[in-house]
Amino acid sequence: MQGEEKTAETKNRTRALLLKILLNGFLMLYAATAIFPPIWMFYSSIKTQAEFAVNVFSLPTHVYFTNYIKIFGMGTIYRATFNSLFASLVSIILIVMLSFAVGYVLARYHFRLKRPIYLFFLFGILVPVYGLLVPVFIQFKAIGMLDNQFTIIPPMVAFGMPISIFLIEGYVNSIPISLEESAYMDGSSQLNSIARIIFPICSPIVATIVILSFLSTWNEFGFPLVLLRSPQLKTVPLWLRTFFGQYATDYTGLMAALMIASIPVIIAYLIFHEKIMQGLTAGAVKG
Amino acid sequence: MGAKSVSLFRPSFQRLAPYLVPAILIYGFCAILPIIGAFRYSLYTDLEFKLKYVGLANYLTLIFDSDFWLCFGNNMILVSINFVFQIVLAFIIAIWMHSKLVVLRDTVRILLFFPAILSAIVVSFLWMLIYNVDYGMLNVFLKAVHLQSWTRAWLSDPDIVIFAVVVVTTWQYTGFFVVIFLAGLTNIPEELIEAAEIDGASISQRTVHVTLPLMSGTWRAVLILSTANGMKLFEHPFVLTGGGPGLHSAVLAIYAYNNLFFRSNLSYGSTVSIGTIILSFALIGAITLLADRLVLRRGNGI
Repeated sequence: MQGEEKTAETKNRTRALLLKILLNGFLMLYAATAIFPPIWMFYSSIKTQAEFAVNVFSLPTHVYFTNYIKIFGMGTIYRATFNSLFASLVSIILIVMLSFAVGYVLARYHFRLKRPIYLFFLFGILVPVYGLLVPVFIQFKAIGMLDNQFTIIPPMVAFGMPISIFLIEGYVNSIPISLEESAYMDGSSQLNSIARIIFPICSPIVATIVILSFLSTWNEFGFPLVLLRSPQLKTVPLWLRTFFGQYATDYTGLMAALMIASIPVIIAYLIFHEKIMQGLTAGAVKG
Repeated sequence: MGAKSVSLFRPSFQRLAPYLVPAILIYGFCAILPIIGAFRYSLYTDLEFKLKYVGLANYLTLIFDSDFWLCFGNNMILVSINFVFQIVLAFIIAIWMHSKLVVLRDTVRILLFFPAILSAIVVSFLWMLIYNVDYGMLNVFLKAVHLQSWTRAWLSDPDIVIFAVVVVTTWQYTGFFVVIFLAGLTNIPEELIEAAEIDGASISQRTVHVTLPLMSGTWRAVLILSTANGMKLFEHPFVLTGGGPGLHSAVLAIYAYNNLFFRSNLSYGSTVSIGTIILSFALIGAITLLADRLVLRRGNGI
């Protein structure tokens, strides 16, 4: 009787171990498929074209920065980087300020237009954004807003706001309202208590919004594509497209260009991955 | 919020307006006004650079436009495959990752999520190189393992091109959904799972009867998000194939883009855009309604 139990137990244990190995093996394999293409992009970018032609998989024998030096030598990347940084920076500031104001009001006040305003911004999350490329182009063309330094900022801000508003609203909801009430009793004006008390408390979620907005504005392609024409206004994704058009067969050079376009978001991810995941999941679970 | 706060914080809209108006203006200007404008254009024809009012005639054309429905079909392929990978498979993977058996959970999570932070453009160009006929990782790999006959021109074969595009979006976004499900799972109170365990429920029973209903909020969000993503897709097919060959990998956003920028047809491009938005919201509405009826009504959501 006892012996039977024992064999059953060892059997169970073997099964658990087997399950553990299978499970972990599968997850490792999946993680490897997720990460291998970018790693391939990285090590191919420091190979020479000849080396790449011989074997696309082999690791580089030496580190060649030639591809990078060539791209930085051409100079067009500087202007594109500046344009991208400028658009990202201005958009991030506006997204944070405007979303904070709306998110705060939605969290703290009850008023008749609250639900319509909520739905109004929810629409921006659900609408097929790139279904709006043509309508936005037509409108911007009609009022002469195409192709200048500020052109892409309004769409970036507009479509960056909804998720930020909901993140702020959720966060402010978790802050006890007694904080503002006691400040009010002490004679602090409303604006003052928002700026001095609530905004600092919200700094974790604001940081998340800053990082998420950086990722989405830096990566944005659709709106710059249709709204910008002049070469000197091109953002990094548009620069990348031109580069691919010009050097279509310089494979290792293309890999270096992809790396250059990705380095800022990769660095942001390495430092802030927790914040990025928290923000996106909080936003999604709320949606 | 207690009764005290209501008396203190019930201001008139005039007092709140300064906080709301700038955001509403920018957002209305970029997200709402263009749709109204596009709807107006869709009621005209603009052949030979002259606008002529035609009522809903463009929509009649749209309904009988097989190209439009071909593109919609491609969007539907995306939405369905997204459902299989980003919802069903991602949920299963999240359940596994949530179990105590997994080692290096945080590392795996960080790696899975990584593709989602890259730009859609970078990812598409990278996969263009992977699919490259001569130097692409995929064909080279197939040759190396003696599957020569499997190699092909992935992005110019009309029968498989849309699936080649789907592979890219699946690769990029499945990890994102795994992480969302994982967050939903972490939100479930441990005691509830333990109680079910003590009652003798097996893993699959616990998943179906406890975990699933408790995650209805996450499920709704993921369903909506994944469907909306399938309907809005533009960048990946635009970069990988431009929608070709023919329209075999074109989606609605590309069809609207082509009508405007290649055929200079302002009003029909607008009609396609409005059609896309209507179909997209109809689909999202139908899917949430169906999900609520079938599965989610049992849970009260977390």
